[in-house]
Amino acid sequence: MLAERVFETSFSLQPHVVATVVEDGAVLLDLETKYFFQLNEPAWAIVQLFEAGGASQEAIEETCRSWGATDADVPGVRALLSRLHEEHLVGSAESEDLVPAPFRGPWSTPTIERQAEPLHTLVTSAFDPSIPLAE
Amino acid sequence: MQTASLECSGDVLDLTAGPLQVELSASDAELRDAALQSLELFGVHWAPPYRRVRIRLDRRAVDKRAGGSFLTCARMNVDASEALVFASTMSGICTIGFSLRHLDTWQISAPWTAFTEPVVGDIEDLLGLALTFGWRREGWVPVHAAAVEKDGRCLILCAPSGGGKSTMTTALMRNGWRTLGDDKLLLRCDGGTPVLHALLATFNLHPQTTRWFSEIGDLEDLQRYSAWTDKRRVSVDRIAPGASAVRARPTHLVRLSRNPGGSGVAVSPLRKDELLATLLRQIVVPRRPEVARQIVATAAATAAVMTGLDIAVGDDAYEDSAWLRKIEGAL
Repeated sequence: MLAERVFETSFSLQPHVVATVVEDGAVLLDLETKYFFQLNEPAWAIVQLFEAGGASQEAIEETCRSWGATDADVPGVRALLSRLHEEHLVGSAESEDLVPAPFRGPWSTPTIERQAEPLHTLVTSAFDPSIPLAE
Repeated sequence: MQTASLECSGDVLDLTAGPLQVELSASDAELRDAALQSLELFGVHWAPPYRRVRIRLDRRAVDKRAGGSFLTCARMNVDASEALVFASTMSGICTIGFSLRHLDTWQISAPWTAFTEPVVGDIEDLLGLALTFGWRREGWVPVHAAAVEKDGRCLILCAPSGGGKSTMTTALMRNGWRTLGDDKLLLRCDGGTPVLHALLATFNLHPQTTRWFSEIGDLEDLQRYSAWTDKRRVSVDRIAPGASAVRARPTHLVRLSRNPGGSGVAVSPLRKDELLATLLRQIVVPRRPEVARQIVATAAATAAVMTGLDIAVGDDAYEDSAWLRKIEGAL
């Protein structure tokens, strides 16, 4: 089945986004906004496809199918890509250079959850991340 | 607790700040004393080897100002590339730092200005910046939290400044817990196992604290540690002799909050994803990705092995030790 092209460009993780693996997926921290995002394992597997390179929507969906996703799962994958784009966590890649990612499954809908409060962008000192008190 | 050493050789003072050996020199006594006031606080002894940090203070007006691309603080902006760091403060004091493999070198330049509180605080900020770079290069992550340990359990107590970390720590020390500090800690993962280390042998306590802990004695006579707070710097031994710990493996993370008008303590579990978020809120995460990556990875590895608790503290929580037993029972 040919994928319907919703996104015109290939995806690439923004250089100001840091990814860290956690027990059940990964955490993305946006160093510009200081928001961080919790990804479940399928979402993290998808992000790894373009963490160090670029990946098109078609290539991402094709890889998801190899991991057990069905046509019914495609909207969930596209919703994740849209959300990553809306949050400015991904940008356009110059070229397509999909990096194979390990995913042991089982497949489930990829999810991304933003923490309600970002880390502070203005801090008291190099050691103290509190909001500075008024002098 | 063994305390850190301070040696003077010619014009250079040698002192330690955690895993760093600081070689301090200054062009005049006023600058040297302002720097010493900050650096002498890192009184907890660390075993060698140390990373060498050379800090030189002089009098020079520098026109350049940092934009804050690496870090934006209340009174200090920091820019950093891989090899070079430049920071400036609101009072016009600047520093430039660079690193070799085993040595960091920092030059702090202060204009001729009156040494009032903001200026002294700015020098403290710049010295703190130099130390945090050195600590991170040795794999340690600075954590702005309190910690206590007892019988193989180690709690990291998290709250914003003024959120009750010191008071809760003092209360737990009364119940036989030993402390690694109420404010500044270092965290590292050794082979995947998180380790906390103490840095300071002093607490910052509000004089009102003695309302619940009369054994500490009157704090009103002690000098305020800064113009911005009523808190006083008190040695751990004055609070509870022999209750200092140097190193521990964290097992529990406690998110502390005040419950004004409430009574006792309310204890509930903290969700795993909130646990990592809570720990990260106690850590300064600069904007440079390679630095941020090390910090978040260390925090995530630590959060993975800890159990989280949410504790809301009511107005009368420290008047009855039964509330503390409730906390201990929830661990």
